[in-house]
Amino acid sequence: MRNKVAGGILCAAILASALTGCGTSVVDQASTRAAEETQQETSEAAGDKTDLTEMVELKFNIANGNKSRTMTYNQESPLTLPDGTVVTAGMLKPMWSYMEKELNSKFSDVTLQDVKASDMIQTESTSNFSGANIFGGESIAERLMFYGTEGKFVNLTDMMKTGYMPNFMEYLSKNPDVKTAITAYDGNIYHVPYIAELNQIARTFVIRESWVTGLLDSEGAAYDKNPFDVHYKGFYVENNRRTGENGGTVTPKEGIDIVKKTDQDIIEIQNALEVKNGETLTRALIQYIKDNYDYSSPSELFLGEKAAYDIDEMIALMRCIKANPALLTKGKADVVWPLFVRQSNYREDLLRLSTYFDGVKVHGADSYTARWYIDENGQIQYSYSEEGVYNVLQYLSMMEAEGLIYSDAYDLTEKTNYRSTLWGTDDGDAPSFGFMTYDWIASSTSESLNPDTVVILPPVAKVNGAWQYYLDNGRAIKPDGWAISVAGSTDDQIHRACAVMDYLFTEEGSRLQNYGLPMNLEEGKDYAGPDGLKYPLFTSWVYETSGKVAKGDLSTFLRDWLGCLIPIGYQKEIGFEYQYTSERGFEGWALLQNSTTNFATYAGKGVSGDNPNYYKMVPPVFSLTSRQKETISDTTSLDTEDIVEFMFNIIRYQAKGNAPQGAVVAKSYEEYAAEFKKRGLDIYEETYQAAYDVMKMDKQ
Amino acid sequence: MAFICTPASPGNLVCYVAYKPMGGLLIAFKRFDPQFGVWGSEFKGIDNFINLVSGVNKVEFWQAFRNTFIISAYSLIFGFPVPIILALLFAEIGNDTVRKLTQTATYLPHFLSEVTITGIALMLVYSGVRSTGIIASLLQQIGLIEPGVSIMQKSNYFRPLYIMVGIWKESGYNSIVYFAAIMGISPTLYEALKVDGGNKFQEIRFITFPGMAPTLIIMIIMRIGSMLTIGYERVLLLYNANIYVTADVLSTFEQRIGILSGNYGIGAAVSLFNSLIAFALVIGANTISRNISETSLW
Repeated sequence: MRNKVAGGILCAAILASALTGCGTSVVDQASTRAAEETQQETSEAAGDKTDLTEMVELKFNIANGNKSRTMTYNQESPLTLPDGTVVTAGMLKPMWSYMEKELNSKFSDVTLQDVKASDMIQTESTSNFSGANIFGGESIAERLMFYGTEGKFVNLTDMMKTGYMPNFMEYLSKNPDVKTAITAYDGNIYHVPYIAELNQIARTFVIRESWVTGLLDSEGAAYDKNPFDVHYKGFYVENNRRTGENGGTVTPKEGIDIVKKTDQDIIEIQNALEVKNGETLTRALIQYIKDNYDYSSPSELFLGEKAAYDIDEMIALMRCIKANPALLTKGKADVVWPLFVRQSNYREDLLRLSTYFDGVKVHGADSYTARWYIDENGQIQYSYSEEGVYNVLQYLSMMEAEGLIYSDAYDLTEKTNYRSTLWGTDDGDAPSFGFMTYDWIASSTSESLNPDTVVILPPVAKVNGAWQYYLDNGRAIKPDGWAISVAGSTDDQIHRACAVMDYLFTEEGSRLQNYGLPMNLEEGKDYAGPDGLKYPLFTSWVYETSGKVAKGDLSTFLRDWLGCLIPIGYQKEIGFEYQYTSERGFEGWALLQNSTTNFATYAGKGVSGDNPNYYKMVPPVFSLTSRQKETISDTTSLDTEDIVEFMFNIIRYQAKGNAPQGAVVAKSYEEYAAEFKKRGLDIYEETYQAAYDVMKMDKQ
Repeated sequence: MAFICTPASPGNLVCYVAYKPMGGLLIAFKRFDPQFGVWGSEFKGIDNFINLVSGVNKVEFWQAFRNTFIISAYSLIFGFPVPIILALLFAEIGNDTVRKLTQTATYLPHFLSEVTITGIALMLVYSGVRSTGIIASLLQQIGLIEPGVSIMQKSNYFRPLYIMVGIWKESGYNSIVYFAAIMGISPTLYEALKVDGGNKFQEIRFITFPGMAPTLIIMIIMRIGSMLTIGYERVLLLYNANIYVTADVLSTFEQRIGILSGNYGIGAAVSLFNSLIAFALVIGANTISRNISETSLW
């Protein structure tokens, strides 16, 4: 009710302003309304202690390691809003100016603008966080919880019990998984997290469409004839042939069954070819598709709603891509890269192919540090040390030996954006070409990047004991957020800080943080998403201005110019992303949403199989006691980059056998497991299990 | 301590700057938590040291310890003579303009930041899909490395690269002190040798070297004292996890474990351990020098 009233007043104020043509600024609009709303809200909401009658000053320290992403406007050129308000460097960004008036507060940004959040927390802990009222930023949730249990941050559970933050409390009661994930070991909540668009697919496979049709549907194509060496031996071979009960019939979309007619494996067929080159490999794949499937054109095995390719067929296609550079690039390049990740520090995305090797779990959430999954007994398991992952590393090594993976990505010193290079330089002076990546739909299908990229269904595979289409990558609760300092705040400030945090869980606050100022949205109009839901619609000013100042990157414009969408405690909505997506991207969304593709969620619902917890995402962070932290730091060394390097050495060097001196390459699973054991895996698992048990206890 | 060491007067300033920070060494004996400060953090005795030498970090610690000595020793063997040779050569250049130009050219790399220097070095030896550096190309041509395998992934290339980068960057600038020592030798000595029929090499052997000896000895003692304090910047910028076996030194290990992993106590223990050994080395070198040459720091 409170939200509706506030929303009504908001609309009335905008309408009145428009009718009178008085051109009041956004700040004025909000300011006039604040007092009116204040009275109404306090009287209306029984038990709601939020009181905005007095002006309260609040200091914020929100660090993201990037001065453009703070609440202060740091652009060189001023921004003129549609109502004529001019925002210049050093001022609060418009969203924050609006919010401070809306909440009858005075906001000060005391953030060292370029500092990383982890460094900020470390520094501020020395003064008991007395330098500001609200602290926030990226990847600090674990620290916020820890310092909360130490009494440095306000216990939000207590605040909610006494009538503060009613909207956040309501949100948590509707989203118990979020509540569990952010509850510290002592049973209390100390921070409000950044929650991505829960129950939505995170990232997926995106490819160049014309390369598939050009190779597979053009019988008379002038295929390349350079020799090709094979290393990968196939997954659906010997006793694991894909036929009959074992994936012989799959259903990419309700009502569409795709039958594989034989038990052939394309990798075996390609490996048996006497001459292996672009022509023979591709013709073998085309013939295999014709022999095994009833498609009108061979490319349908990979493209569109009837796609039914498995991991071997995907690798077979990658071989054809790799072996036909001249054909695919029209002679512009003699080498192409079938699979790449966006940048070197995303290299662990390669491991996500594990899902398609019989559902091996590698990441428990959309984060490389989420190396846990929940087994059938409800216990968490450290995925990186498991035999399944080791086997996948070996498969990837064979792919690497065939040149299927863009190898610069292994080197963390390389900072290039490979997606821009391999998809965005086709017409440049020195073009580079890549085929497929695993990334976000909106940015990967952007018109300015490459007009040929499309979303495809994931490979079909036996996942959790059942053949299905599955992406082990749902949108997650992020380890980002904000909390209220005890030492730095008076009671009034604590109460107002609660109101600020709670505001982003009201309808109007959420709209403000997700989409921007009311003047940036079309009044009375909605945007219809591919999911059938309606979302606020941006005005043309937003698109035009982002085109002028942020190269059309709407996401960057909203964050760095308007101040929305920065990683503080709020629930992100997908409506913004839909409007930022190209037509092809939109079709990609529709393809996935209309298919039978399952994906990981916190609720963890999916095709029943071996492990009832398979589809459940793990919480972003675990709340450790100081003793547990001490145990981890004193007796284990698994949270370091060199363990990932150790894993990637297998990919890089095992199949090629060219490991340089000093690089340790595990020759067997025993050697691999021994490295993890040496680094204290047993204690590591035991400690995190204890922390997870406490989280579960709280949920029960 | 805080009461005594206040920056109120110049005398106290020395105390404040030089000795007050030493209180931080206490961190090596504590489980340091920034929120409680040095005094408030839990006292752990020598646990941090035990963890280092025999705990979960022992392999990395001893590896870093060994690498620190080896890299320092190599730097001493290969890097120490270069500025001396340069100074001797500068002294032999008769034309003042040419000498000044040459000296300036060799000093210049010293004024570039480590990031720039290592960035150039990495570019020269990089070998990947995107590009291949000149040195990497050359080594590939002569068959020393395979195409596509970066030198920086090969542990046996790290130390030579590190030392060569160091020589390139610092030898010119370090030659200043030796050149000054040479300039301080009385020309009459050289004239006397010439009268006695001495040649150029005899000049160097019998006049220049003995004349430089005090400077050389002082410099070598100082160098030995800093053997365990390899500047971590260059290592940090050049190394990666695959070449820790030859590249990781105490200072980078300390940075990883102390700063990145937040184990401040263990990081401080590494640092204290490092300093104690460096202290012993300086005393040892000074004693030896005093006994054999009568030149010493004290």
